[in-house]
Amino acid sequence: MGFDGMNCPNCGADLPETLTRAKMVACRYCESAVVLEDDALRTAGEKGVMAEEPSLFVLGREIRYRRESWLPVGQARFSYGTGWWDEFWAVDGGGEGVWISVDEGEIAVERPYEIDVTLSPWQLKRGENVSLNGETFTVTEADTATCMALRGEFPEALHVGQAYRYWHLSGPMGRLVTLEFSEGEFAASEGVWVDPYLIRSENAGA
Amino acid sequence: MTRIVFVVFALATGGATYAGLYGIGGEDAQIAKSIRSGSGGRVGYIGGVK
Amino acid sequence: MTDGFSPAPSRLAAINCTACGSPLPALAGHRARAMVCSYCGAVMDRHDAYRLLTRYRDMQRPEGPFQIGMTGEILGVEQVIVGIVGVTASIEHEDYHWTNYQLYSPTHGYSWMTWFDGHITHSRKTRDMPETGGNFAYKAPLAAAGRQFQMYEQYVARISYLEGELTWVPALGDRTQVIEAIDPPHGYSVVIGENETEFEFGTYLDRRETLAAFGVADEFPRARTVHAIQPFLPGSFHTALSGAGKLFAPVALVLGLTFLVIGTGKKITETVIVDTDAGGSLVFPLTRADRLAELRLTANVVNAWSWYDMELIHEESEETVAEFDKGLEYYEGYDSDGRWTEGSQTATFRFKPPAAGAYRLTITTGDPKSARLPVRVEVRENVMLSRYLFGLSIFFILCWLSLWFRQSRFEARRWGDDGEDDD
Repeated sequence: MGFDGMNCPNCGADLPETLTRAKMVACRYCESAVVLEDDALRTAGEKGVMAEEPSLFVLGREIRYRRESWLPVGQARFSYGTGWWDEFWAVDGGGEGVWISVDEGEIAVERPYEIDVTLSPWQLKRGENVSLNGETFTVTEADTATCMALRGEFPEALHVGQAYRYWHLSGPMGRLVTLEFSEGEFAASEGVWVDPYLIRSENAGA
Repeated sequence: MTRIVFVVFALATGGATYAGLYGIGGEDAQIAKSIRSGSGGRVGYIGGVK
Repeated sequence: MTDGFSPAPSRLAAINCTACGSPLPALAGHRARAMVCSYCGAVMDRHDAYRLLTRYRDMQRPEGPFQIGMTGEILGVEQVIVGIVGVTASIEHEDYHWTNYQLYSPTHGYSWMTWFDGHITHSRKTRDMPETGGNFAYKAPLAAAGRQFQMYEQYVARISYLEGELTWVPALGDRTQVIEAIDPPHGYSVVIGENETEFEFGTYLDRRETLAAFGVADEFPRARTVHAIQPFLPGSFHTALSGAGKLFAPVALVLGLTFLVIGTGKKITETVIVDTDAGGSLVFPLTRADRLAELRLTANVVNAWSWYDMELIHEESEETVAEFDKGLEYYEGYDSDGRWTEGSQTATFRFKPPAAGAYRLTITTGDPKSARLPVRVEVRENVMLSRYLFGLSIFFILCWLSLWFRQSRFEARRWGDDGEDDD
C-alpha cells in the first residue's frame, strides 16, 4: 500500500489514502470523525449511526449518468422536517468533487454557485423572491437540517448533531439553488436534477 | 415463425417455377380439358365473340 | 456495527385513520404529503400528525387491476402502489376516465402507473423542459428530454377519486390542464396546475408483463383503442410475412422476367392457311411431352370476326387429341376521343402434348357467318409461362407491404384519423 501513514487519532486504525484530498473522514473502525487540519489530524466528535437504506449510491461504487460518472466517497445524512436525506461527496470523471443530494429519488448534483448579493437569513422566507445574478428565484423551502451520521470522507468538516439552516430556491427553467448559512456566512450551490431511472450502477437494483 | 414462412415462400417460388416450365393448367383450358377427357370430343365454346 | 451503520429500522406499517379509526397501510416515504382513508375518504396531513384536513364520502373507486400495497417491478425498479387517483377528462365532448396509481420506490421516488382502456403506462416527473416552446398546435414538433415528440392533444383533467398516500394534498375536483406530446413508446406531458407547471415523461408498458409483475391475473377486457404512446409491435407472423415477402418478391420477379425473355421457346413451323373455308392442315413434330407447346393464330380481321374450328390429331395413332375453336375479332374506328380498337387479331393456345411425336392440326372456318380470311399458324415448343411467377411476385410484394399497411392503419387509429369512433 502506498500509504502515507495517517492513522485515526482516536483508535489508531489506518485512514484511507484518499484523505489527502479530503478534509474530513469518518473512521471505519471507531465512532470518530477525523479532520485534517494544517496537516494534523484531530477527532471531530462521533460519526453517528446511519441506518442502512436502499440506495442507488454506495460508497466506492462508481455510478454513470448520461455522459458523466461519479464515485461516491462520503455519505452524510441530514434530518429535516419530516424525514432525512443523504448528501454524497463524490469524485467525478475529471477528479472534481461534487455534492449529490438524494432524497427519496429526488437527486440533484450540486456545484458551487457564486452569489453576487449580500443576503441575510431573515429576508429568506418561503414564497419570497430573491434576485441572484440577474435571475429571479423563489424560496421554496426554508428549514433546518441536522447532521445525523457520517461515513467516508468529505471536503469540509461536518459534525454529527450540528444544525444547518438551508433554503431551496427555484428559478427559471427548473434551476435549483441551495443556500446554507453557518457561522455568519452563506454558501451557495446550484443543483442539476438527475433522473434516477437513467442512473447506471452495479447497485441499481438494490 | 420466420422459418415456416420462408419455407412456404420458397416452396411457392419453386412451385411457380415448375408451373412455368411444365404447366399446371397454364395450358389452354379448352385443349387441356379435351386432352384430359381422352375423347377428343368438343368440350364447348370458350371465347368472347360478339 | 463497526462502520457505524445499522440495519434499516422496521418501517411504520400501518396507521389508524384519525377520522374513522380504520387501519391504513403506511407504505410511502416521508415526502408523501397526504393520506386519504380508503374507508371514510378522510384526507389527512402526513406532515402534521395525520391531521384531518377534509373528508370525501361516497367516492366510487374507479376500475383497474391494481390495489394499494401491491408490489412489482416497472422499468427495472421495484415499486409499491401507495395511492389511487381517479381522473376524468372531457376531450372533444366525450368523457374519458382513467386510474392513476401512485407508485413509490425508496431509490427512485414517486411516479405514476396509469390504467386506461386496458392500456398501462408509467410516467414520472422530469426536469427536462421543452427545448422548443410555444407551439402547441396539433402534430407540431416538440423537443424535450433528448427526444423529438409530436403534439398530440390538450385537455383538462379533473380528480374524481382519491385514496391512499399521495405526494401532495389533493382536493376532489381539482383541475389541471394537460398538454401531451408523443414519441411512442414515450410521451411527454406538460401539466399546468394552479400554482405550478410540471413535466412528465411517460413510457408505454407491456400489459401482460406488468400485470404479471404485480401478480395480477389478466381478466380484464382487451384494449379497444390504440393508446397515444402505444408502440407498433407487429406479431412474429406479420413480421415474418413481410420479411419473407421482401426477400422473395425480387426472386420471383427476376425469375418471371427470365421466363418472359427466354420462355418464347423454339419455333417448329409457321404456315399460312389461305383457304380456311375448305379447311387446311399442317403437320409438326413435338419432341417433348412434358413441356408446353404453343399454337398461335393470326388473321387480318378488321371490323369483322372470323371463327376457326380446330382439331389436333396424333399422326401415329390417328387419334384426335383435342377439338377446339376460337374466334378472332377486331374492330377499330374513330370517335370524339380519337382512334379506338377492340379485340385482337391473334389467339394463342398453349397445351401439353399427351406424347411426343408428329401432330396434325386441321383448321376450318366453322360458322357460316364468319369472315373467311387466311390465317397464319405458328407452332412453338418448350415455351415457358411467366404468369405464375409474376402473380406470385405481386403476392410477395403485398406481403412485404402488408406491414406498412398495418402500421398506417395503426397510426391512423392512434391519431384518430381512421374515421371510426373509439367505441
